[in-house]
Amino acid sequence: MIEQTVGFETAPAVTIDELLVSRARRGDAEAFSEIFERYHHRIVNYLYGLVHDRELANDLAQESFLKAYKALPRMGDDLRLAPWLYRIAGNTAFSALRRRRIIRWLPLLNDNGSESGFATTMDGEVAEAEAVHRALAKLPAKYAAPLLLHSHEGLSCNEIADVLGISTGAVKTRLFRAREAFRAAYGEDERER
Amino acid sequence: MPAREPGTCQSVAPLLARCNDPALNEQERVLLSLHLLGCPTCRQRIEQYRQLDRQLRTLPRIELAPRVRAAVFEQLALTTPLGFGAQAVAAPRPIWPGVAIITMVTALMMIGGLTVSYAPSRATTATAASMTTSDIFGSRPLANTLLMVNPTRVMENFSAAGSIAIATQPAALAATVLAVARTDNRLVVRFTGAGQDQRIIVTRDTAIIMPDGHPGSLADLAPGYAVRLRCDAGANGGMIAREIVLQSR
Repeated sequence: MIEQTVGFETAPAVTIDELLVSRARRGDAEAFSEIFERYHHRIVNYLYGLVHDRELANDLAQESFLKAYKALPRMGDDLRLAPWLYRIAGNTAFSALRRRRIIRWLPLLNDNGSESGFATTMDGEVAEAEAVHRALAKLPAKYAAPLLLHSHEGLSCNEIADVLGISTGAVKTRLFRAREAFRAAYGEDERER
Repeated sequence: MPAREPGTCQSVAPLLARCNDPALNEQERVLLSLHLLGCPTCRQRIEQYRQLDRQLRTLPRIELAPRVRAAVFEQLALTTPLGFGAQAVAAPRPIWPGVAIITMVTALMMIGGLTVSYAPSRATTATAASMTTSDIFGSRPLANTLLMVNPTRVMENFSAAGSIAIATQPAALAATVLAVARTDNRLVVRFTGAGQDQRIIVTRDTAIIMPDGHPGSLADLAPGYAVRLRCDAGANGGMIAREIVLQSR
């Protein structure tokens, strides 16, 4: 059997991550390319949730993976790959947002009025997705990040603390405020529709 | 809030926000459950949170732009990260990495002719020799990555083998496509030839070259094609195609 598919959340996947990290740290580019294959989808979608711009998310994903590649040799053996990659991606996004002063979200619709580049879905689903994105975009990045990591990516508060470099208590507080802000923004959007 | 509820709405609010947190401990779960039993307001709130979670989870995902993949692999090929190779202290390292690259090019050119004999049905000697060398340093991003970012390691393997065994790995093998199966983002292609039938992974990084020499795509791979194939060992022990040159059908 050539290909082996293992979920990221299962125990064997952690072992595979450790193996890949170990090889990549020694300069095995094939191992890093495998890391890229395993994580690019999650990272680019996390970034998209933070910056709400498809092209910018792609640029930041590229920057993030290159940063990770360069930093890998300096990391310890106990590196936890997924939180580490999210942390690099998040920091890259926050820097870009600060640089570009894009604190709030940009228009979701393209010039032609179509949805934000999503794959084909039903009209209702697209409208729903847009509403969720609009609500998400109203959140400051420091609230959007824990909400995305928790609800979208399935990370625990401890893991989010690891990713964001803050205490678990701070994550809990931010998560609570993010949920409230998101709920309010979504409700407001719903009333406007 | 009714007086009989354990905890106050304010005190359980952070727990509501973490309703999906696997790290919620037993005491917190019990407190939350008991509170929810007696508090319709918080029940409504947690239901809203869960609904919004579902909406977030089902948000359509975007795909990585192909340009990003290409750019990442290209940059990997050009970038030697600080510290890489520092752990491989057993073998003496060249002062300047370029020395290793030049030495390797020279070595590959010298044995280019030898690898010809390992490619069962190569058209001409001249073509074979040029493919062996130019292909490695050509436009293939992953081949570049493998060789350029860590030339010393490649050289160590190369000389340690003491033969052309390693050197012949990139040589093209004649094969015929038997079947093509699509998975998430790659194809698993069954080939016959090269002494055995084998399944090989074809990814978007695999160079597909049409019989007329123009670039092809994964969609061009079809059963019945005679091909020349170059592979590397994948992370899971399988073989990943780096280049497939379609010849005839």
